[in-house]
Amino acid sequence: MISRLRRLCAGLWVVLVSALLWPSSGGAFGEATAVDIRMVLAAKLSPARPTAARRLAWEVRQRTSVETRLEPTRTRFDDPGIFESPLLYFSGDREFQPLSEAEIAGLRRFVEFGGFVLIDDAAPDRDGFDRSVRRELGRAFGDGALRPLANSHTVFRSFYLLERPQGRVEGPAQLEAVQRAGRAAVIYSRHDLGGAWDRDDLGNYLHPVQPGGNRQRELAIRLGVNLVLYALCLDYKDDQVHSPFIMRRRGGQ
Amino acid sequence: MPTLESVSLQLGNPGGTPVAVVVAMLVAAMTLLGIRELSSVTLAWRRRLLLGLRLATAAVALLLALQPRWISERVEVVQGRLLVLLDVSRSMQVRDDGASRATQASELVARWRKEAAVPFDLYGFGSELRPLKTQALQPHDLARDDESRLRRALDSAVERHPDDLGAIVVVTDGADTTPDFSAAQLAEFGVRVHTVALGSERDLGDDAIVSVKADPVAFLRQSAEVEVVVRLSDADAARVAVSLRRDGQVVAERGLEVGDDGLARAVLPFVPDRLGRSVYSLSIPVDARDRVPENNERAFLVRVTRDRLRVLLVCGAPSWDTRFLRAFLKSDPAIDLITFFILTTHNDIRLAPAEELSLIPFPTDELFREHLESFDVVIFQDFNYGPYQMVQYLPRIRDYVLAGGSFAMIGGSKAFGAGGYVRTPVAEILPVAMEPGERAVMEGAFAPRLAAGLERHPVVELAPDPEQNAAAWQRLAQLVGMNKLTGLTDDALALLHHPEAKLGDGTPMPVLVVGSPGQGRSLALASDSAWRWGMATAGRTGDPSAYEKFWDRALRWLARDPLLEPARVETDRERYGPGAALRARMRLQDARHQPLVNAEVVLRVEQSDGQVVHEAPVTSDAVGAAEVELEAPMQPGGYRLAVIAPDGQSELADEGFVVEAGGDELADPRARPGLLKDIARITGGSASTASSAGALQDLDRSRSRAVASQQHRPFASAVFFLVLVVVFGVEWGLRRAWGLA
Repeated sequence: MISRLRRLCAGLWVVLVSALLWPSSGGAFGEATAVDIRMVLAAKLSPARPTAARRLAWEVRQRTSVETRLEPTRTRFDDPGIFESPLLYFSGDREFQPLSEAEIAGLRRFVEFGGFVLIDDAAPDRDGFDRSVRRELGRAFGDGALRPLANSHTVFRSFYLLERPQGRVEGPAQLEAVQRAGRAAVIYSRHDLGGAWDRDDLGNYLHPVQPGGNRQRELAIRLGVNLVLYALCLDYKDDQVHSPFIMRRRGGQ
Repeated sequence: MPTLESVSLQLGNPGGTPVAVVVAMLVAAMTLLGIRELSSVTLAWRRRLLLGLRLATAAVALLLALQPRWISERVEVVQGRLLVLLDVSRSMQVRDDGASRATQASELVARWRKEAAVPFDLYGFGSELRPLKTQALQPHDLARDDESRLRRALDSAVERHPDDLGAIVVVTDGADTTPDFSAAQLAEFGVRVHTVALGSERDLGDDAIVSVKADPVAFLRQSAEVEVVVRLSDADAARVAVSLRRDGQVVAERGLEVGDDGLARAVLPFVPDRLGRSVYSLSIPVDARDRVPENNERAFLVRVTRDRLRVLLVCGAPSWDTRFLRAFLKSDPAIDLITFFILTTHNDIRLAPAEELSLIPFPTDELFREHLESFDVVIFQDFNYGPYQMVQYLPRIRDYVLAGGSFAMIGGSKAFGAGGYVRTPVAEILPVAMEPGERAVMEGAFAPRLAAGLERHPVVELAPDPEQNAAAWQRLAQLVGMNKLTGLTDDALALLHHPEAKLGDGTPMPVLVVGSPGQGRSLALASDSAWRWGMATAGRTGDPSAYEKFWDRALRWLARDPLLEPARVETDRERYGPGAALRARMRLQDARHQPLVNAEVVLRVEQSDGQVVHEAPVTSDAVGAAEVELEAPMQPGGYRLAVIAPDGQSELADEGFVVEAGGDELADPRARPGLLKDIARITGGSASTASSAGALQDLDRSRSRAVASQQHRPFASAVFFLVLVVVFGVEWGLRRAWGLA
């Protein structure tokens, strides 16, 4: 009972703070120019974490200077309008049918023209979604294109300094990525990041993290923020001017 | 009028001599085969008859195949035009013994004029052939040209007088500067060349810098090299000291070993530490006995640039516009990019201690006080200065631009009026007037339109053809949202404008504007969605290149890439001798990149200290082009050629050049009478010297002229063919009758 009361209070507090800080729009030029974390609908697969993109957009807006669209839109890989916003979020928790040729072509062109795709396995304890993702990325970019991403990559210092990927589950020690033109154009997580971000309308987290603890959830949110910042800033944090600061802080930890 | 008969034999077969040789060999082979068969004929008279018939058949067949013809010509010998070609290059100022070569030449021509025995046309030659007025022959004026190109002069003389040229008299020292020129090249020249050699072949006693090779462009604070070759007259000299100077200050010195060939070679490194044009000079010591001290010093011009364009990009917040611009700038190896993103503001929630963040302080003081001048271009992209205590730096940014820097502001919710720039020092360098306030923005998508008359401005020239360029802009994805602007500054050019929104005076709302405040340049792009010209356009057309092309040209325009400048002036060379002919070509356009047609501009020659030494009015033609020939200044040093606009104030274009006392022409001024003798011998002329030259009337200037010709072709008839058939038929019949194959 006390626990429920606490959760309710926490939810109300989040709503109150949100109302106070809620900007009137995504930016001075309107929502149209704000960063849209678009969810991808593919192969009749229902989004495993339907509120994850919205929650991530909120966290990015609250924590950084990035103007995000608080109601992310949805799209398909074969949608001609896919090129209107360069960031896609694709999550699932089960095996799915092969994408159509038009969807594969759309994904390939989206990446080729500068887009960034975050793929999130919401059921990393099963291999259905994982198997399908590897199959489709192999079709789009060639077998072997998906490779482990070192934990020294810019993604782990694009805003927060992180040691390794974590989501709802601790998962593998590394992310995986498809590299194009010197950037990680597709990043694949088997940590159920969206599961750690998902909240209900009262602000309560919907899924417990494993092995657990607020720190793990916070680190999952930080990784989400870093991924969006990486999509926007690329290797900015590799610039020489950042090196002494980052090395000092990493050395201090 | 004496006449001559000449008869010549020619072959009329197709293919000329090579084919004739092959045919002759075939006929000879056939004949020999036939003769070998005769050994089986026992009766001697039969053998002799068949042999005679075979030889007769071969001879007739050969004559039929080769068709020899006789051409008889009747020619008359006439006295042709006589040309006197006087060397006017600077090596003629050398004094071998007593008077200079130019003085000797001018006295000789004066003598010929006085004799007036034979009329002649007088030309001067150096780099080119030019008519000379005999009345104006002054030795000092004669030795002005920077090159000696004898072969070019001879060819030009024949071209000018193809029908009546009798002979050419060349008065020169033979110190030709044409690479690999030899008398043998004139074997087929066809006109008699008489030579008068000036100067002697023995050693002048001249030390010289023979050649200097340096890159015309060097990079700031990076080692560059100059290659130098020195020739010493003293065969016993072992070393020579070479000094490299810039603006009179020694920057390098080197002692060189002299080789067995009397030449010393070295590569001298130097490190330019100043941007712009610099005049460097190389020198060797001048011996008191040196006959040509002018060639002991050589100068060269170096344009010092940065190896890479330094760009400072400050972004108010990460966005797709900043992401694509940074990616483009980073991808260009010619750009040295310093980027700062404002990743968080004081409004953002901090849920982590500083140690867990990768954020770094915004080094405003270092950027805008210490290093601002080191950047070629500064870009504020959706950046508001207010939260970062930058008010104190805004005057510095203005002064940096007014002094020649470049600045671009790209739109967004923190830019222009929404960024608080109205009535700030930055507003003084922007080419636009802005509406104040955070709400000074417009939402909605729109397709910007190219401004009429400015389609050829390099910043918006996506394609060279105006129609293709307009079509390229129409294919681009729409922009979304823009900052509200209220006007343009006086010299601003609005290159793109909103299709519907208007300013207060009813003119279209500008979207992309360029200007030239002070000595600098500025660009205003009142939108933060130009990235859509890349990715969003590619989604529809498959081609994302327009975005990068636009920014490539915008950056180059901001950095004053000479290829994108509206007007250009070029000199025909970079180094001149004192008083040498300097040819300048201009392509004149106004700031809108429209040709300046029939415009009266001034071409000004300035010393490196800014002092004007010469001015000449120039009028452009119907396409804005102009060409003019000037006389290079007499004083050695670095100079600047500037084109002053018709308003008499602004400068349209400039170029640098060097005047050096020596130069290539004096690198090896030794006279070459042997070469002149060879030329005379090969062309059928006579060779003499200044002292031994006789009167012009004694020189052979005769030429032959054909007055009638006749052609005989005795073997081009059916009768001769019948002879072949009969002779061959008789031989064949007798062979059959006497049992031969």
